[in-house]
Amino acid sequence: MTSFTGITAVANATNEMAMFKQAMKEVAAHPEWMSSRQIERQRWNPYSMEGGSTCAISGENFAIVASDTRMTQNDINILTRDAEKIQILNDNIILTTSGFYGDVLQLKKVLQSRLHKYRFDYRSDMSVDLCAELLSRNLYYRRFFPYYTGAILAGIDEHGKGAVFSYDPIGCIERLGYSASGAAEPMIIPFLDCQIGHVTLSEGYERPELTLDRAISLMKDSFRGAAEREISTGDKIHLVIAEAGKPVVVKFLPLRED
Amino acid sequence: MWGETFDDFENDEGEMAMAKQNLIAEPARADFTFAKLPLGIQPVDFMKTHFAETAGKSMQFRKGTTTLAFVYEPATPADKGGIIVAVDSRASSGEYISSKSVMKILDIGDRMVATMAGGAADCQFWTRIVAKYCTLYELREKTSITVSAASKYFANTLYGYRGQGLSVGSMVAGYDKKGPQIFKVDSEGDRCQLKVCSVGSGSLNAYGILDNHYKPKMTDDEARKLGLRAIMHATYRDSGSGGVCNLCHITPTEKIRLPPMDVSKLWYEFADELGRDITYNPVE
Repeated sequence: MTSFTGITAVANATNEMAMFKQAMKEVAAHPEWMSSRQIERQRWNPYSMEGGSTCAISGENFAIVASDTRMTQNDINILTRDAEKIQILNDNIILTTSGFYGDVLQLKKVLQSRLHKYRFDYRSDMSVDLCAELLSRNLYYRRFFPYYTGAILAGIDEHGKGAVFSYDPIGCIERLGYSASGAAEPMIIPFLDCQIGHVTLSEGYERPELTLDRAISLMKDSFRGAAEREISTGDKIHLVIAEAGKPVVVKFLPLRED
Repeated sequence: MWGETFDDFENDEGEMAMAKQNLIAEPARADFTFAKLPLGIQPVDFMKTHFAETAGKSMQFRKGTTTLAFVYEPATPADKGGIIVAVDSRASSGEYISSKSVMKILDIGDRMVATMAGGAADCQFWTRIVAKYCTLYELREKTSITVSAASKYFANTLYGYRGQGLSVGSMVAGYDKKGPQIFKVDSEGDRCQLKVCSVGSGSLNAYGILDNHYKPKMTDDEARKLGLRAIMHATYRDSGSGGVCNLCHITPTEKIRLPPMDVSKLWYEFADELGRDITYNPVE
């Protein structure tokens, strides 16, 4: 019998400790001295979501980047039909971001100033690999107050090959062949997995080569497909084409406007 | 102090000594702090509101993993022994698989790796910081750092950010003068040395296989297969893990990275080995 009471005592002690911890946590989050106004501020929301999607594909000697130009409020109200979310940072680095437009602009400004400083210090343009690491670190520096953005960095690397880097909001970096971010990411990626990654094709079948023309038409298809089924994507495709040894080309293509 | 070179102190010996001292000392960026939220806003609550399940799919951080590592001794003189580190390659944001090809074995030095579980960005960033520390240590002390010291620095750094919402579950594995060692480090500041270790959402499944088949003495082939098998079974039963299996073998002399293996193909391979059909067919 004694052992039973012993176990109960231990269980009680553990329970009490758990309750104490919970109470401590609550008090730390909402101390007694806090006014209701201060507690209200805890739910402070500095972000808004302006929707839209962006996508990038890299090939042997090119990288293409596209995004739609719609900006929405609460996914419903269309604020503008020509918001540009792609920034051409230099001849071989293109940044494209979706998410909170204020952070999109801030991120662009931060990278532009760092690239400017690099140009001043080293007398040459930064390469896309370096810029990718730079962006990753700058995103992480805001770990406790993140940029509300899904960023993709694309461009031509030092070897003349196309490069695409994908990020999460706090700077988890990965180099990929193609990537998408934003509202229509779960629609665009499976399409590209099928067409470029050939993940659904069993072995022994012919895999079409990824040429620039094919990449561009796949990009158009994926945005047209997304605009059919996703409310915050539409209006125009802002398409940027970077080819090794050639100037960057910018194009605007029409999309559904409804 | 930044941008100082020896040319700036040509003749003055005292000044030169001072400059050397400055340059030898590790450049500590004590002034650096992360951008903070305004006063009175709890970072953990703030993250929960804006970047957890309630947020849009694209705004959730990448996470989810099975990682494992174990130490073994060579069974025959022909084998090398050492450490096997095996990981899956899935990163999920909520229910969406945001990447199926993440490299979760990160280099710390020539002889050391760290695995990545928990928040992907947290692991990538802090592993870089540890790698920098190890390189500077090596330059300063003219001897390579021990796994124990590196993992302790890692744990201490993470402990400094305890309660602020970091999420790291890492294994620092490597070979040093004391032999093969694995340290498990996490964002709560925990650090412990283990022989057989697994971290992540699929760790229970991996432990099941590891505990069943692990022997202190194995051939290289056996050991690599055990790593693959444990990861494969973990990915089969844990929806948070999947993709390919990346494997790294740290031997007393080198670090061998094996080519990635698709886990769905591994399943068929191992089924062949067991000599049974892959699906469960009740006897009629």
